[in-house]
Amino acid sequence: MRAEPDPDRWRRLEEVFFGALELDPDAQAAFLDRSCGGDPELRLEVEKLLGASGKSLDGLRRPVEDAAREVVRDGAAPVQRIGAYRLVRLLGEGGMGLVYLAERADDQYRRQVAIKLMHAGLGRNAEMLRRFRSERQILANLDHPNIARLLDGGITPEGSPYLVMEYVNGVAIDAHCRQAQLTIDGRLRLFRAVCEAVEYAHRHLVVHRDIKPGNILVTPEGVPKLVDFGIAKLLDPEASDLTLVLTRTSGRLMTPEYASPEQVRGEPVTTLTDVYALGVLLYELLTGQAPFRMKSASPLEVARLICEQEPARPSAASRHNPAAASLDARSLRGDLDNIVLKAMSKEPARRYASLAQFSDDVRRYLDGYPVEAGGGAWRYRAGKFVKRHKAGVAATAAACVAIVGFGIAMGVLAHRAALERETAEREAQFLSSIYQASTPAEARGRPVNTLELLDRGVKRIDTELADNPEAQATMLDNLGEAYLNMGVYDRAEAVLRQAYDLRRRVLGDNNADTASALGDLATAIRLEARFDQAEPLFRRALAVRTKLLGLRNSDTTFAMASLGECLYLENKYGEAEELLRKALELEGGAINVSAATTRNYLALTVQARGDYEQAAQLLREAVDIDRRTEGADSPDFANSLHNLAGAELRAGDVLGAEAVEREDLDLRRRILGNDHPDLAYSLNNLGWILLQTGDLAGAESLLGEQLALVRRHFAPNSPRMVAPLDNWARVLQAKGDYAQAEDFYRQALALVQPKPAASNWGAAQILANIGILQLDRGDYAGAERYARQALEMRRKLGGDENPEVATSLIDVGVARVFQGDAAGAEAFMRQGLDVRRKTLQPGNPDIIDAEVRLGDVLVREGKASESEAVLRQAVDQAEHPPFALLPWQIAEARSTLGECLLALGKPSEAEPLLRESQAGVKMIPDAALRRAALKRMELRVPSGTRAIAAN
Amino acid sequence: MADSASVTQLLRQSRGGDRAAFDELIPIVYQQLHRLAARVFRAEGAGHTLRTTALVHEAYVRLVGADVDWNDRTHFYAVAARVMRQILVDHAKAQNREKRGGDAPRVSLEAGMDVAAQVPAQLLDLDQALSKLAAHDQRKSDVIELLFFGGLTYDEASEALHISPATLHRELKMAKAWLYNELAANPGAGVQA
Repeated sequence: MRAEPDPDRWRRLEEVFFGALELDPDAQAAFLDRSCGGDPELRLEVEKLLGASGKSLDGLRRPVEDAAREVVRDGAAPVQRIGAYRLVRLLGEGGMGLVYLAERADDQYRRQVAIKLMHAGLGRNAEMLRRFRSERQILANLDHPNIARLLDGGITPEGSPYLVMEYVNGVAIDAHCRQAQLTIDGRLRLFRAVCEAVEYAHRHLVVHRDIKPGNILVTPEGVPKLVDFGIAKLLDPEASDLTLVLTRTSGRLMTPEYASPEQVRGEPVTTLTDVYALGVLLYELLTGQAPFRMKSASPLEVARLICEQEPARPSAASRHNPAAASLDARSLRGDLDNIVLKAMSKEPARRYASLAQFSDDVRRYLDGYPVEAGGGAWRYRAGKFVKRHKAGVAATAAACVAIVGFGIAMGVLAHRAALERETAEREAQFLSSIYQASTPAEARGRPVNTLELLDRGVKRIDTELADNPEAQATMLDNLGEAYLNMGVYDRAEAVLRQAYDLRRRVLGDNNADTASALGDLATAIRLEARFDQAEPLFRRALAVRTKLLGLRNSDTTFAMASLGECLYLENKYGEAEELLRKALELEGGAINVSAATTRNYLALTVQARGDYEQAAQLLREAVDIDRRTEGADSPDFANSLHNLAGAELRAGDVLGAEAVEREDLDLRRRILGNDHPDLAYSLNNLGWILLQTGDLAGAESLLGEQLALVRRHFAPNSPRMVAPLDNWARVLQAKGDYAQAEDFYRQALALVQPKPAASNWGAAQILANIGILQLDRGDYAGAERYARQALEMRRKLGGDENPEVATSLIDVGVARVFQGDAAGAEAFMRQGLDVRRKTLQPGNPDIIDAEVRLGDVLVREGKASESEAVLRQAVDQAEHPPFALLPWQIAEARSTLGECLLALGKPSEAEPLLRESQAGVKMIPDAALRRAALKRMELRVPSGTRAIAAN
Repeated sequence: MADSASVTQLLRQSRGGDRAAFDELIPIVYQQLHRLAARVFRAEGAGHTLRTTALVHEAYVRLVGADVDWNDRTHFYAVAARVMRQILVDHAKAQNREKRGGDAPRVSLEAGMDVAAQVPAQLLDLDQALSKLAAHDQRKSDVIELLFFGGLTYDEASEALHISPATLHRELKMAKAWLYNELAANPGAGVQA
């Protein structure tokens, strides 16, 4: 067979073949004599084709069908193992995925487990994955004898999340009650054990959401075990969605029999939802039948039954049910009826307020005491609820009118009211005086401008509270904090300095309130990025708190963490990490603002030396703590989320980071508005991410917004300007406007490096960027000069083993390659790869990148066989990443391997690699590298071969 | 879950020539086909003859839904065919490695080897021959891919390739003959890959 396709010859072959095909044998021979007169080879080939043309298509197809059957025979499960577990057999398939029986693959101990492997589609949604990870952590903390443990979990290399659970070999609770012919008391006792487990989970903030007999298994020893705890929410955060309940009655999320009215209505699911479901369960255990018949009901009918239909009293239902023959229906009448119906109330507020109350009432019944669920009592309470509820509505409406400053002040007042009544009263009068001073225009509905209000307050403090320095200082604190929250740092600093001075004068230095005021002042200065000025203030605040409050105090550890952050921002990583670790240790397992803060700062610090994995872990904890303490709409939560995105970004998970950062930006826009300086952080990361993913227009819009925002809030020479200038330069560079880009880089450099040759990370970053700019421009010697400057600076700051140093090494290597000196580049690439392998987690795409660079250099040096091993590893890593990579990252590795294989004389293996990576290579964000890769491909890939998809 | 709206969107973009959309589709379809294969196995046991056709059709219904533009549908099948081919080739390669202990030398396909051992080799041979055919003539290779791996009918395949049924039949004739000859001349060529 011919090795190289020859289009002309092929056309000729086709022509003769089709010409001869329809002819009878004699005519065929004559035709071939005519057509291939002087080309015996062509004739032979056509004859062979004609000879085969009568064969059946099925013979050719058979290997495909056989192979398909083989795939299926081999279990077709894409996996035989998951993590450290070997799959034994399939237990079932649910809407969310497959459930396997499995055991530890290392045979350390032969424990059987159940593994839930979620459908892979979910693995593509970074937002859901993030939730999956954090929820998984919460569930893993559930440790109760009646709850099947969540043992492990993770994501398969294919991107499917999985959960490893304790395997419970038991029968569903309703079947158990029937089979064991339990008496009513026996059933009640079993039920109470279930309540206790669910209540335990509630105390750990986990709602089951999918309580039904099938999820409560009873072991042969008679121990009930809840399985699938919280899984419904874990796997589908919108589990309460109306459409899910109504349209997916096939069991994807809810068994309609156990769905509560609020779930059907799409209202929030709370612990009261579980109270309802347990009420239904008890109903079924006591009567042998479900309260509503839903088998044949339409979705609308299901909704109506659940939301409107009162169930028959259990005693009545039981009487008519032969399945409950062993039970004495009369004993249900009265108390048990009341207990079940109370738990199953349509209105959540009418149910037991907690599972503990529900369970207690069951106990009271068992012990023969009167139960709470008396017919009249709860109606009375329900009435009260409505009144309370109405008041709540009014209060909420009022709260919407209240504004930031006022909210904070009132909070403070409430705490201190009892202690300092007089001062508190003065503060309250002062506050109301500010609000009463609203102009008529404002009164007619123009939104109250918070900033104006605060400014007015500051002006009045001196005059109206002059006789009460205590009240004055408190109000200054409040106003300062309000300014901080709004991101007006200069005014915050002025006010907080006033408050601090006042406190010092009145209370002296050695006072906790003075120390707090000092900490607030330092924070304002830190937010203006004057870190060196903030540091001594943080130190003083910490010293005072340590002395007055001791080390094991959350105020002290908070001060410690704040100083740690400031040191981090000054690039004093060693001292910062030491201090933050100390704070973390002192905090123990505390769940509070200080614990979240410490984790945030420590994460930033360990991140600086390349430990992105640990950083991400700390930040996931911080996000979780913030969610629990401050709520998922708090600025602290947003901040932790942003830092988490940053850690994921540095770990190379660009798409994962993108989803988190988008959520963060949306959240910040929602809670802070569009003119808050904190928005700049999210814009910064997201813009940078979009540059990586190739969405230049999106990046330009976000980074343009960042630049404008920061310019509005900070002086032109503020350190806060550095990042936006640098980013804008990148945008200009990506658009090919190199002259302007360099101008912006130089503006940023001037801010970050006021003294020439002063070393700092920011300067090194900008020098590195200017180097890449020169590369894009074609000034390769210039590129090398800048890369080397950045390298020196980074070495000085971070030592030899630092990921940034590795990046600079590779930058220098790349510049050498472009200058035609592959041999000289090799050592840099090797060192860069070596450092990245040492400092980064396996699977980080930066390692792949370094391998690709080294492989490329080796091919250029004529050492293709040495290169092949390196590049095969890179491709293997790129094809089995721990998270989704960007198309160009994979394409770059594949195309470079293709190059290498061509050099090795393996064109048939090289060709598909090159062809399939064409599209990806076009998305390489660095222009010089992209151009080089594309140029090589043009030479290699025949233009006629296109994928079907592009036709 | 990859919802059907986004799959449909990707299909459209991919049909319009957006390679990134195509790349994004592949893993979605891949997983879906894999999952369906697993389900068929459990439901019908190992003895069942699996038709790629049925799998692809079902994957389509699950991923995209029933009422989508005909063009999107044929295009989906084209994608699925490509993916199905990849799945089978991946699996055959893995089997090969297992059976032959990594990079042990290729064993020639003599009579007497059991069918299971031949399956991966034959499939890889076909795959290799198809790639070779594509180098000469992409369209002929596409025809085979759509029919064999995508389970498309002749009409659907001609629709997907924007050619008349008559042209499809001509292409098929020569592709078939050429592949037979290629496989006869180069048996086992694919096993080394």
